[in-house]
Formats: sequence, C-alpha cells, structure tokens
Amino acid sequence: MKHCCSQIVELLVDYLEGELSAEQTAELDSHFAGCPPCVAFLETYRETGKVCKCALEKELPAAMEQTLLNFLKTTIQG
Amino acid sequence: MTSDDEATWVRRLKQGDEAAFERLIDTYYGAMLRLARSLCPDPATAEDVVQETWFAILSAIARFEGRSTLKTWIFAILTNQARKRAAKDRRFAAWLLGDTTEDEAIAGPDCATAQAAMSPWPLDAEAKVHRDQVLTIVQEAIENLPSNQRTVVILRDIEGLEPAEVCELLKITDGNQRVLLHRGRVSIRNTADQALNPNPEMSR
Repeated sequence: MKHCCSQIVELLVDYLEGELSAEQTAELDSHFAGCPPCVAFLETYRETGKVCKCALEKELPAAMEQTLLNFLKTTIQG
Repeated sequence: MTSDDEATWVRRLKQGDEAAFERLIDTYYGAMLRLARSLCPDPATAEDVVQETWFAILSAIARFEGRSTLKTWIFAILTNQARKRAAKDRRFAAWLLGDTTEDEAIAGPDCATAQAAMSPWPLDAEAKVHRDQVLTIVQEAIENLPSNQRTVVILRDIEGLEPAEVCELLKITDGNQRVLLHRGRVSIRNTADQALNPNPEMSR
C-alpha cells in the first residue's frame, strides 16, 4: 500500500521505535527514498526529543537546593 | 547507573545517610519540579506538590523494594500527590482524573505543497546564537502544549522513561501514550521549524 506524506507522519513514533512490521518499515523506507520533505520532517522530528532535553535541563538554583537539604536533614534527624 | 549502584544508594537512603539524600536532591529535584510544573496549574502549587513528595519519599523509602527504578518510584509518588491535589482543585487538567483526551489535527508535510526540502535546524556547536534561539523556541513550545502531551513528552523525551512506565504512571493506554507523544513532538517540531524556516513553502 502506498502512503501519502500525512500518513507517514502518523507512523513516525512506531517507525522510530521499531514497532512497525517489516512490510510497513519497507514501505516507509521506500517513501523516504523518494520524498525529501518527509526525510527532512523525519530528521527534525527525530531531533525534537534531543532538543527538548537540552531546552528543559536546567541547573537547580543553589539557594533552593540548600533550603531543601536543610529541610531533609532536619526531618531525617527528627 | 547500574542496578547494583542504585541498590547501594537505596540502602544508604534507608539508613538515613545525609550524603545519599544530598545526591537524591542533586539528581532528581530538577526532574521533579519539571514534572510537577507540567501537572500543576501554577508554579506555587507545583512547588507544594514537590515538597509533599519529599515528605512522602522520606516516610516511604524504608518500604521501597526496588521493583521499579528509584526515578520511576519518585515520579509515581509525585503524580499521586498531584492527583490528590487535582481531586480538590478544579484548576488542574481533567485528564489527571481520568477524563478522555481530545483529538487535535496534526500538521505534517503536505504532498501537494512541500516540494522543497526543509533546512536542517542550526544546532551545531559553532552557531551558539542559533542554538540558543532554537532552545528558547522549543522551551516555549513545550510550555504551550496541552498538559497531557507535555507530560508525556517530558517523561519520554526528557526523562527517558519507557513507554510502559509512562502508561503506568499516568494511567493511560499504550495507544494513548503514543498519540500524545506524537502530537506533542509534532507540535514542538512544527513550532521550531516555522520559527527557523519562516518561508512557508520551506516549512511544511
């Protein structure tokens, strides 16, 4: 079965996690071979998870960490 | 971290070892706050939920049996604390209490109009200005997601939990988990791509 681009998008989670059948995987690979927009979409989609991790990982403010540590020490000792 | 390392760490936590708790804070506080902010209607409530989670961790660590990872166990306590709050606070998203998810359309590549290949995102180390720009856009896109999509994206893509762990934590089916993850990722991707490739023919 031939897929159009919007159908390809719906299958990306399963494709990247190796959850598709061999037949479906081959169909998607075949589509990607002839569809640069879908390849670009796949690459940026794959990149999204990594970029999300970089975007949200922040250092804990030192003052907050110290407050929490003091709270835990008091609780443990109590 | 190997399971042996974690078992040693847990044993020290059960003994009330301060250094072990210090490590627990260093390792998981940021992740707990991120998850709480995703589940709660405002930052102050999120901080309360995290505080309540620490109380619960202290009282429950002696009973931790290692059937899940420490991280997943902590997240389970936190989501339970959030659910308790949600039961009394209508500002929480209904999905936390088991309401069904609304469907939304996804904008993917369009066969008819996406003729040109999209540009890759400028994320190489040399383009720091561009990289910071992308990260800011992505951060805002994550914050603007519906809370159920945001929570699944955080747990899967940022915290690296397995699909089954996410389903168990959020009380959702595997199919729902996949849909929420996919919609969240596509929405973030599209927002970032539109910002980075503003020519509409290049950013489908």
